[in-house]
Amino acid sequence: MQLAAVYSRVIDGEVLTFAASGWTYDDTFVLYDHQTESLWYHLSGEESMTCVDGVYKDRKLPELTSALTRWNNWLEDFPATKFLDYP
Amino acid sequence: MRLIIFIFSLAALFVLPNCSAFSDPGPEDVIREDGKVFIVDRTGKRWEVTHAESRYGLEADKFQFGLGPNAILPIANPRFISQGSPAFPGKGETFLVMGTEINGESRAYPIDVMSRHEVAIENFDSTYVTVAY
Repeated sequence: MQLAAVYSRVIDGEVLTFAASGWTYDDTFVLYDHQTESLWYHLSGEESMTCVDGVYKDRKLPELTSALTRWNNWLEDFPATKFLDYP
Repeated sequence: MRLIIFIFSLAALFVLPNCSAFSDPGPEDVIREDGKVFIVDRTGKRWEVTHAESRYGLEADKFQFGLGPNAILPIANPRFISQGSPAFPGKGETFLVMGTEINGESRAYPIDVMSRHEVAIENFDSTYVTVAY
């Protein structure tokens, strides 16, 4: 399963930055945070990303609402949307 | 010439199944020592997964690829364009996007870009988020 999701990245008032760890598990990304190199994974059935190992273990970062859709549908629902312009 | 092709075919038959990229993209190594478990990625970096395994049942040898933390770079300081910009996609385009609306601002992230970077480090004013695919 390829997961598409948006998560908070604030924990105890600290803003973390995330990146791909280079690992996947069950075909889903495993992220890590640059600050502590903890591993984060979206456990099935949850609406958050869980720190599965490292400094923040067992802490969760809640998921925010997002959609995986087609551009024409998204633009119709959100006509003021901005578009990521990235090479 | 035929002999060379034959030798190469023979070599491919034996070498390819042993090559991690083709058969087993799991960890380069799984180290268990002093009650701790580590997985080793292709760059030689060790990641501790003791808790991941014991608490969440994520088995060390089922982690895959292990490309290393610098193989897939996140999108930082992303630039956005609005309607009216020449590069803004037309309303008839049907490519896949991830979309989110936070604090009244909506943004779309094309999947072809997200699949190359996995992560966009984002904020909507003071709401700090990770966009992940």
